[in-house]
Amino acid sequence: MTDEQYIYYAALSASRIKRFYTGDLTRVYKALEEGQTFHKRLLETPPKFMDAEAYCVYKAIIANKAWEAIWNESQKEVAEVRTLSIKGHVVPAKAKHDIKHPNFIADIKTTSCRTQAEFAQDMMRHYNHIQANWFSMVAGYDPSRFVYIGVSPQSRRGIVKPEGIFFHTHTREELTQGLILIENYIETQWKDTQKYLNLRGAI
Amino acid sequence: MKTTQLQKVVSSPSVDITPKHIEVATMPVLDQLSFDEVKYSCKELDKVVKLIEEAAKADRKPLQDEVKRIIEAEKEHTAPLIDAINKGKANMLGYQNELARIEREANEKAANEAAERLLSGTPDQAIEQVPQLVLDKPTGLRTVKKARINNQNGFVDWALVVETLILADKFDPETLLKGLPAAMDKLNVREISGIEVYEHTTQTLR
Repeated sequence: MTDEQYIYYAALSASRIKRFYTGDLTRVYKALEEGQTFHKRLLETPPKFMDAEAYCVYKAIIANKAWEAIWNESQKEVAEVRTLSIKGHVVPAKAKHDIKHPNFIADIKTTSCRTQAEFAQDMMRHYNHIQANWFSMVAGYDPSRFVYIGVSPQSRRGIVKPEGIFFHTHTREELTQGLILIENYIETQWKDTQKYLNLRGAI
Repeated sequence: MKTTQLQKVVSSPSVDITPKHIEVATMPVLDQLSFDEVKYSCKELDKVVKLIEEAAKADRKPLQDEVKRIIEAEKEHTAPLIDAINKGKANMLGYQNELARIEREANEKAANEAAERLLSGTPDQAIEQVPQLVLDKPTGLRTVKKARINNQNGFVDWALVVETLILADKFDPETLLKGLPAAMDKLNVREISGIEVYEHTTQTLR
């Protein structure tokens, strides 16, 4: 599935649900766009052809032997669709996993946070526990098997800094909250969302 | 400002004759006679330059001694303070480096634990969250990127170093060219494409 096919595929995405809670994100459009470009530079480019910034982040992630093996064994940028049953509704769902491993899903997040603790707070502030649940549901994984790989500013300065990479998973409580938010969205917004998706002609 | 020695020299007879020597020194050199005349005047002017320089130096000496004394007095007062500041900064940096080391090790541990937990079991089996470490936030650090030779990574790829500098328009050729003729002589390298080895001659008054 190409980027365009994925974007226009008529299924509900985590970002649509998140946007319902976070509001309009055009104010951070530049940061989002930069994050997307960085994903391409890191995940869709062979290491040999990565630019200095992406290559240093790649080297920092694989500095840990286990993560080097994980990186090599996993698929990158995997678009997936699945029909979910949520609160009695049949919901076509889609997700694009940055890294899909047979045992878990990892999502790369470029962040301005400088510490692991800040990053953990930031993930909740941006309602990413919704994404963790949604991606896991689409992949058929337990949500605790969704991990963030936080890429901090110090890891993007063109110097390999493994300490600038944060590996973070949500607590069980956070995941439960995320699931409640998804269920609430479906209960209150599903009709409108369905109309929107019907306009796109898939369901 | 006292310029006793300098005033004495510039009003001495030896300096009086310099206009004549200036005139002769700047004459065109057309034959051996004019060559000798120009050389003689240049030598005389050189003597005067040295006399003036020495006189000025003598005049500067008490001033420089005074400046030196002030600097020493200044240092006497500031040195213990600067020393204390440097010690304090070193201790602060030591603390922040220690934080960074703890963070580095904790991150390494967290990365290992995360990998271990995520790789265990099956996708639909729940796992415990990896514990997170909370540390003081480093503050006031100024970091600049520098490069140094690290032979642990193998030989330095000098061709790439030079190419990178050239392409980024940050290459200072003078640095490399300074010792190049002597190096070429030593290794019997006759020519290098794009490099002209030439003779640069200066006139001496010997």
